[in-house]
Amino acid sequence: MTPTVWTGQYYDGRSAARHDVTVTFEEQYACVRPAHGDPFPIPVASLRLTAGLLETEPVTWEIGSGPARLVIADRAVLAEAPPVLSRALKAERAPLPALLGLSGAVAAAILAFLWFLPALAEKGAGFIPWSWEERLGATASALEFGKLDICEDAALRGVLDAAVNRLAPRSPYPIRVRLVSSPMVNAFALPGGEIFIFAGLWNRIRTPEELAALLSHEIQHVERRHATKAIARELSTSALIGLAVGDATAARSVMETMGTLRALRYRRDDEEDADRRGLEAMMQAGIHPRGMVELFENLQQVAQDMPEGLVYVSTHPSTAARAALIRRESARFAGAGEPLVSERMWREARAACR
Amino acid sequence: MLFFLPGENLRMAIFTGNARDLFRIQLANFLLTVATLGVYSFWGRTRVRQYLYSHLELDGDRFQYHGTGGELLLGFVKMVAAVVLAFAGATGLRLLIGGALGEVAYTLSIYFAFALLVPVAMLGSRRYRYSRTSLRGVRFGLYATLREFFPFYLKHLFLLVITLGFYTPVFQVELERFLIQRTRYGDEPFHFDGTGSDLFSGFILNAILFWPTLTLSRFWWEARKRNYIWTHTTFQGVRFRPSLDGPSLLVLTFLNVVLTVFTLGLLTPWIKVRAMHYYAENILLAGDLDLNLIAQGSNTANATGDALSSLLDLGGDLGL
Repeated sequence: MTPTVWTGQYYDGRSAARHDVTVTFEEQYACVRPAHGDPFPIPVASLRLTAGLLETEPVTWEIGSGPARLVIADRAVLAEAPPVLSRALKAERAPLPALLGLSGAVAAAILAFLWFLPALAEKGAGFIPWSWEERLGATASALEFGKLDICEDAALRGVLDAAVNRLAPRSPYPIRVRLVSSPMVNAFALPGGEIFIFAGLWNRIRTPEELAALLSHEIQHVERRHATKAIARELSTSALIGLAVGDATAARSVMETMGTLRALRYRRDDEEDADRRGLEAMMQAGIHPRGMVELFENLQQVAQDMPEGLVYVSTHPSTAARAALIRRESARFAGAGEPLVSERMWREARAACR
Repeated sequence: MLFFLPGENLRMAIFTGNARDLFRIQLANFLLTVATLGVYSFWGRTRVRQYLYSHLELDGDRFQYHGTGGELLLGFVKMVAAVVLAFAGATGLRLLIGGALGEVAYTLSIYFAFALLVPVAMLGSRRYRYSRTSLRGVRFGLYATLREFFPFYLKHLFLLVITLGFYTPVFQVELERFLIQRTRYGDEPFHFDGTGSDLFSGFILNAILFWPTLTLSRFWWEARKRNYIWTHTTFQGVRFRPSLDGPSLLVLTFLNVVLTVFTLGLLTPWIKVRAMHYYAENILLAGDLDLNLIAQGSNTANATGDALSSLLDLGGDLGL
């Protein structure tokens, strides 16, 4: 079989002269025959494809490291020439595996930073001894909440203590509820058992059952260590930032995190967890769970009345899912329920801190 | 392919690329750029340039682009380093002087540093592009060093400032003269015989119409200026014959901006191809070239070392 004769151009790289040539390919050599002058061979191994993979390009090889080149317009040559000649120049390709690997590593580092470390820290927080949590809470309380104006009243204390005793009779934490004289509609629990209710919220609570529902929810935040875990999540990120910028004073990070404790947000899962377990605790204590339903409706009403500056409502969004969960769970309760406290005690407590 | 037009021995380059192929390239670039957090963009840009060059044909021969993504990446790293250095130096100055005077020194030194980076970028990117372009196996080249260009640039910048900008046409033409006179294909230089004062009336007209036309007059001024520069450029005694016009430049620019903004640049191949056709068809050569006698220039030997030449000499394409 006689090899195909291809017509093309040869440029020697020394001048811009164009040499019209015919080319035949053998196994090791491309035989180039100029229209004028002697034929010469080019080793196939020295030809490197720089253009011709697209239909609109003539097939172009650089010879050696250039700039000499051989051009054949008919792209059929790619099918007939030795296969090595149809491979594109490697040197000019991006080091894609390395680039993709590097990007993957960077993405993984970002993921670790945003998700993995906080998750790990949260798991670790589950092993923190109770006494540490108490001290953490006490420090936070002294640092950040010592300035708060606490309302003390014997009747109120009686109601709050009764609620705690009913709702968390065997809690490993010393649960302590205090009322803050502040118009803010808010309530929160610190690690270790301190719970604060703000007067703005207290004044809107209508029944002992609503109070029980609120406390039951907050007590679950304490017992399920939601705050501690949230701090651990927060801390793992800020400690990492501290490490990165060479400021590894962990103590400072702790302080700063405590400063943000007010703004600490539990995850939605944690809220649902506190809802469900809070309801459970109410029912076990024999308190009618409609208190939770009423509290929920009450807070939704509050949100409609004054949409701005409602800390408690904004951190406890009234999603349809939460409402459905509460209604479904509380429907299981059979019986009338025992009142939390006597009518008289409730009236006296309600009069406090107005 | 060779086109003979009636009357004169005019010839033009032909663009043979199409938007669909270019779109495929840019789509792949886009995806890989996202996957590599942006690093691939240097190779992507190189791929686009390769496509555009290898589909531009003059007298039956295709141009070829030899640049690599790695070179662009290196140029980018150098540029970032230079900018960081500039800011670090300025911050040091602010701390050293202190007070309100320190703030002034900071601002002034930042402006000064960027005024210095402009000629570096201007010369560097053009020199890089030319040295990576070839036709018939012979490279183009810009044989100018920053050491020559810098004092030249500063001198004309000074004249520009003290004439309150009226020197602009001369400034721009002199910059082109400097660069074109030092541009060669192989060992054959380009020549330039224009004078900036010829453009003065156009410059004044643009200055008057600039705001009344909501800056659109700049496209007419740009066309006039480019036509003037091409007209006064010769190679082997053959003159260029440009016919660029304001409306076309306006439409090309406008469509480019619109497609870049609204399609993340994915649909820009259509406008790029249109632009290539436009420039190929509107910048003609008025005469026959004899390329057979042109020898390879001396810059090919150290072409790859261009980007590394020296610390101050940023060399490589800055990716602008």
